[in-house]
Amino acid sequence: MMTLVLFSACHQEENTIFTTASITLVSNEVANIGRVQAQAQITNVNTRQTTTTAAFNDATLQVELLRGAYEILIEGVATYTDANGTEHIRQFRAQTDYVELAAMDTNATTLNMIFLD
Amino acid sequence: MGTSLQAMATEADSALIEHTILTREITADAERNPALHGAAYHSSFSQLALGIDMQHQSEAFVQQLGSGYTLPYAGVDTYLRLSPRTAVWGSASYTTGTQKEVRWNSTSDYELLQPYVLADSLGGDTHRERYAFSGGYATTVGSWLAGAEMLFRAEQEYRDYDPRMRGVVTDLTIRLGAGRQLNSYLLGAAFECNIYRQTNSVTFYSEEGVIPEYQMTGLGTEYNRFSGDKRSLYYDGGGVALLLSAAPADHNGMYADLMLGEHRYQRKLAEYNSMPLTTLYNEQAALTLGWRNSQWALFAHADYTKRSGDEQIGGTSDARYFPTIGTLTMYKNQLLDAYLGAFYSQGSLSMMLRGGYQSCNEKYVYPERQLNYSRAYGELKAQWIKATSRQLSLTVNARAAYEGQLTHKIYMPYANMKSSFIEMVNHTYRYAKANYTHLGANVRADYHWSNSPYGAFAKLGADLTLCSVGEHQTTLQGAIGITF
Amino acid sequence: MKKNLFASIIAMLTVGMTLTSCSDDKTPIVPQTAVSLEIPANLENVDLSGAKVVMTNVATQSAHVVSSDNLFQKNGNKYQVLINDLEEGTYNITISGHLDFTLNNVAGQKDFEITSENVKISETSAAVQMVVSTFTAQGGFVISEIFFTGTSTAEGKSYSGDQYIRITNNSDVTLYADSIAVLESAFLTTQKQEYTPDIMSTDFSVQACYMIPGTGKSVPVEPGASLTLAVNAINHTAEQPNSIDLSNADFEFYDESSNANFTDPDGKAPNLDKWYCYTATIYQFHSRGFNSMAIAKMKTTKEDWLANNVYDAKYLFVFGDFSREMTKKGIYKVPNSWILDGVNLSVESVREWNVLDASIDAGWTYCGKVDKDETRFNKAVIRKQDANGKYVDTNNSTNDFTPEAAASLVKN
Repeated sequence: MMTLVLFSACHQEENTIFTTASITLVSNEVANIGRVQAQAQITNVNTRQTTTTAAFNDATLQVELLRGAYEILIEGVATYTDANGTEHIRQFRAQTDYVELAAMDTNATTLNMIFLD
Repeated sequence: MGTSLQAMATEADSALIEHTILTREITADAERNPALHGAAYHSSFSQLALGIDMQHQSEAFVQQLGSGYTLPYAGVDTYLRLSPRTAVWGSASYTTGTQKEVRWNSTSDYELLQPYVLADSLGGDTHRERYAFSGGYATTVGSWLAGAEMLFRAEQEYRDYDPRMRGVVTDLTIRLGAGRQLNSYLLGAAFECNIYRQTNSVTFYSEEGVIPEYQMTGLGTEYNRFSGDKRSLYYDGGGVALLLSAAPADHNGMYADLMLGEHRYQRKLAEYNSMPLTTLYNEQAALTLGWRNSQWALFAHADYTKRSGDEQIGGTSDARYFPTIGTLTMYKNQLLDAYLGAFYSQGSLSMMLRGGYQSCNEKYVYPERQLNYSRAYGELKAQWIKATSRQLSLTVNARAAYEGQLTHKIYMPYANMKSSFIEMVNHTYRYAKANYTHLGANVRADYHWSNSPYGAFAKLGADLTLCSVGEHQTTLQGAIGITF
Repeated sequence: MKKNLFASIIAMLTVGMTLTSCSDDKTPIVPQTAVSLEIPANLENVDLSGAKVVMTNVATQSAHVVSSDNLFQKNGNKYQVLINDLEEGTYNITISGHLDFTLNNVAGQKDFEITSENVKISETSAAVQMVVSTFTAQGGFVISEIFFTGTSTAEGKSYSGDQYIRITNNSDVTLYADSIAVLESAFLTTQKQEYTPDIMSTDFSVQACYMIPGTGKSVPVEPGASLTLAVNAINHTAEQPNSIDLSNADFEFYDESSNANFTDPDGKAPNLDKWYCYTATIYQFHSRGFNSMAIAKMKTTKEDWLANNVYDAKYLFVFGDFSREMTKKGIYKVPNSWILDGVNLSVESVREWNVLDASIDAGWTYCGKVDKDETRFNKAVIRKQDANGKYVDTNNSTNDFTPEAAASLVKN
């Protein structure tokens, strides 16, 4: 019985340390964001490691990260069409001080765009 | 083994020989079982000692342990054979002294808790005080041996100038054991349980301010968010171990010892509602297989330790309370020590020869860091016990050993590390991959008054270790006392 | 015959080399790594010059540098450089250079430097893409320096009476500083709460507001010139020899204290018009930099602002199982649209959030790595200047400021 107690106490390692985060830019001013050219700085609030990526697919960024909590800052230019079909290209910024991306498989979050002009 | 020696000596000498002979190293693992410890000695032996241990390193081999110590102590050990079936034993000791130049470690019991310690780049000398008590009882019930033992250690370590570290430790171990003779073999099984606590803090009195204290997480990494000015921690932990042994009752034949143990130590921040930061897991398996008779022993031993560490992911603070939103196993260290050995005893002289292999594979998962090394080593120990007269006996021990490095590797993201951390990691690596030569000897003289249970002893020893990086270590031990 | 012999020799050499390389434990080489710099689609007539790519292997610290403009090929809206034979590994990558461009039919230029850390380069992952941002805040007044740590005495004690803030005209024309107010955040960057209503995207919550008085053109500031606003505009060296003579400051924060034991020395510099301050005695900047600061052009009267801009910030106080709604009082709000410039200040070891909207400051700066850092004294946060002497302003003080710089008015 003591042997059973011993073996059941063994450490179960948590080796799933990475997750895929999906970050989508949204805006109340815009219905349809087309192309985003932006640099995202994703900083782990616990380790202070920063992951930088520009791999946007339309308004969504997918990136592999260490599971954890993050600060995100995205700066760049977004191309979109308004309700009249007019194309706009505007500089924007999107930021959050804290978002949890700790689930094992995938994590999704949205960030509001702040237009700078 | 040693029976011819015992025939020459007095009863007091016999007790001393029985309790201190080099053969005891072969049976030491099995005798951790209190039931078997109670049957290990025919004679009673007690001693009260006042002594001092001193060590000096020309440069700290391990910065976190300092470059030396001066530790005077007072202690008493006793083993009383109450009857052929029953024995009791116990010890009490008090040690106080200083550790020199401890750097990158503001936590007590570094070797137990590393890498999860509080640390700064400045460090300094520390004062240590330790109280230790133990007691055990064993008896024979029918064909069974039964025993129990308790060991307790209370320790305080502190520094009286900035950064003022303080660690207060309580460490309690309880062992329960049983043994039984089956055919010609004595089988033993024991269970060990340990509870460990440490409160740890660093304070600064200087009006100018503070320096950062880092929550270390292995191989030069730190838990950045809670490093800097979170300087009050405590450690909660303990574990269990299982000890199994089989040995020939007449000390002639094959023998085997197996130890399995699992211990865990959690580091918590005192400031944020006991927020857990990290948990260290220490899993150990050790196996010895051997053959012995009255003069010879041949044995093989392997000891595998896996240390792994979990980091708790801190969430967002809410009125100074940080929830844990996940756990990641980021630190891994696998240690192996395997050797073949031989023992020979003839008359006054006993010798033990060992040749072995050690390896350490330490890893931090992301961003990746590694520090690996392996060594081959050889060691020769010799012991000479001589009763020069009815009252006086001399015991001389000598040791020579060599550790030569076989492989070594380091991988660090140096470009992203602070210079002080680079220096610390490189210092660790320089000594991890070095070669070491050890030479040591000690002499003990025992004098027994005629027709008296009392005796007096004096012991003096010295060790020299030469490191291939050009540094050295000297250790001196001295003790006087009485035996009874 | 000769061809066969030659082919055989080559084959043997190839086999020999292959066997040799199999037995060596060398790091794999990535034949070609593509580093791309993407130019934002809103820029036209883009010309890249002085471009440099530095790829630093984090383990070996060896740096591979590409700095010839000829090697950067323009491909659509990207500039790309191909780097051959990099060792597989993890790299820190920095791309820097100078862009000339046209934006909305106006010529512009930008010196840039973008960094990406811990990028894995391998045969299966040999492409790096980075995007340059050309955003620059519109020229005008900027905060060019904040000295909040104070100086240290010869005995190593702290002296915080000599704090100051400098604002600079970063444009090419003379501007007037009348009605510019210095604002201090009501919230600490070291204590995050979920306040309701959350007004940060539209307003700045303040606990101190001191305004440069004037009738509209009373305080002219030449292009590139600065105003020094001292907390106490006196000669501090009389009391603290290592301090500063601020008696010639342009303006002073002056308070009529309600406590006779704590009075504000009234130096000869004109006093700022105190619109509001949380303290009933004497105002000082947070000496460890836990409050954010901003300057704003106040567009209403003091009475109207005090009457119509009170902000009751509600939050939930939680301690274990106990929770209670609390209200933080004594806060006023300033519309973000009035703010000319803002700087988030904090200390890394205790920082939790920014208290200025990301459109005003997406980053933060500091003096001191830990709370009560013994090395923080005599240091300030100072805005960087470009090659033309203009202050860099991308509304991101992580990039725009030099942290822990020697305070410009302190003799070192």
